[in-house]
Amino acid sequence: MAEKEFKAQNAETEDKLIAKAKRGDVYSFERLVEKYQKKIYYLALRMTKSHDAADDLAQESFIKAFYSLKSFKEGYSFSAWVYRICMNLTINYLKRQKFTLPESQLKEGSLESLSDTVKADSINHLAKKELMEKIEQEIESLPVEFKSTFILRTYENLSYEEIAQALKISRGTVMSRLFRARERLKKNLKGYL
Amino acid sequence: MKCEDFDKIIHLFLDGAIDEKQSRDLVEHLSGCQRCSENLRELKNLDIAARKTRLPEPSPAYWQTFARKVSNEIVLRKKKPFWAKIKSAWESIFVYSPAKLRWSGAIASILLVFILGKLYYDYKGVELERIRTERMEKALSSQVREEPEKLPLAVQESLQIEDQKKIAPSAPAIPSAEEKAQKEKGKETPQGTLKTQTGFVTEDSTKDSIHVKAGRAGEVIQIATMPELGLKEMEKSGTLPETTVHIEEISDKKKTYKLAKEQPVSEGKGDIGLYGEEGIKYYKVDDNWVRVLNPNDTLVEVDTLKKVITSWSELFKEKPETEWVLEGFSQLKIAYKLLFLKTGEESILKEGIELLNKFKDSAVEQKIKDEINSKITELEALRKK
Repeated sequence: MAEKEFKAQNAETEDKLIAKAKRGDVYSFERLVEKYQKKIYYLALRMTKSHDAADDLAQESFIKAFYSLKSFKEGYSFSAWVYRICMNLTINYLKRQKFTLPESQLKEGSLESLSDTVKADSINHLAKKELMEKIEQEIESLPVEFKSTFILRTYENLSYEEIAQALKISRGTVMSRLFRARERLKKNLKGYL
Repeated sequence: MKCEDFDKIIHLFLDGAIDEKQSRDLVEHLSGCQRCSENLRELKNLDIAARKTRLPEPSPAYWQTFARKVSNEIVLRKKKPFWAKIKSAWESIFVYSPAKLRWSGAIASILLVFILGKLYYDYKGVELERIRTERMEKALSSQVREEPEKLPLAVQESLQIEDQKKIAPSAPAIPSAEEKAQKEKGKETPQGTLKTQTGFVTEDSTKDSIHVKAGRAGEVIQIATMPELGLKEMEKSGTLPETTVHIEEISDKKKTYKLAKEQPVSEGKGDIGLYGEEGIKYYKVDDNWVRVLNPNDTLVEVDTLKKVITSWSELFKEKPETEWVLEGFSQLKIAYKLLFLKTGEESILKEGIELLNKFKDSAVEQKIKDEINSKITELEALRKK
């Protein structure tokens, strides 16, 4: 009950901030940015594997959101709306970079910070480093439409509906893309899983 | 349900979107199916392993300044002058992107196809014109011209324009002995002795100022007054530039001419006169200018043929005893024949036969009846053929 009240209060606060930002209050918008900056940054980072690109894309997503606030309809999820902006920018970025994607500078870092314990019993016997490397590699090689759907589901934990809203596609398309992305990963990671 | 049906349900299960019934079915199925159990295990491991991948955490300072960087940029962009926004938009055009490349390629391809198409069309047009002219010349050889009705209708149509161009301006005038005499001596009229010339109306004529090629070859002489010689009808039929007219000289010095009032080339029989020397000839049937038809002249337009039929038919209704009756029936027969060859409609011949039969019934003289009968026989033969 208390959680619900908190959420309602929080939503009310968010609505007020949005309303103020719509009137041009940059400070109120800054509060909204603080709230969602990590989600948006990590989404861009997952997609691009580059801190610089993720930084640019996350900033640009919020700037674009500020200037497009007039088109944001009250009652909709602000986070899903910014997700969509970020995803559009990121997909465009990836299409531009299609042939010039740098070797991920993050691989080493991500592997270093890898959890020491992978709980799934069946993969205990595998070299974790090798598995993680392979998974990152395979996710990165997915077509951008599959990758975006897979990342929003797996890392952002969005529901089918939320993904559909963020990518402006139907629920059926979300399910289909997710199915195909997983089947492809499973096939390519055969022997590791 | 088959294993393939459970593949989707397994995904729903992993995403927490499975309903109670599907859940029960899946549990039951998994208990007896190794393939699906293995599939679920692999997908679950994939999900767990993927979630375990970690991204580097930016420093706390990064997060503390991130929102401020965004708001600063917003403020900066707000202050950006209009020309700077235009400049950056202009510069963005030259930043490479695959989409821009695709669009540019598409536009360039369309332009290239258009230009090549135009060049090819122009070349082909000239080439086609040359081929067409050659064919025309062959088609217009004497043998073909003798039996033009044997040509397909489409060819006849296509020959029409070219043929008219060739025939009309250069057809040699073959004046009758009577006409020659008129030219040499002039003609006596109730108004006195007038020198009569034959002119050729040129293309630069207007309604109020008719130019006639007369006298020496190439000489253009202005006619000052508006003719009252039924030129309106000639204008309507589109034959003005090719129409021969007879002019009455007024003054040699000024070289101005007035169209002579009705001056038939041949002596008029009653109320009908024959006009024209070069190329196309006309009868003046009552007040109508009616084209003189030649059996081989398949290039006459449908409207002209219809006018010939109407004019002669009306004349015979009003004046069945006219001296021009034989000439008229002959013209009617030719008109129906040519009209049939142009349109290919059998009903035309039927209509012609019926009309001639009517005139045959009303004719008094046996000679005329026989003449009409011979025309009917010709049309019937054509119809059977």
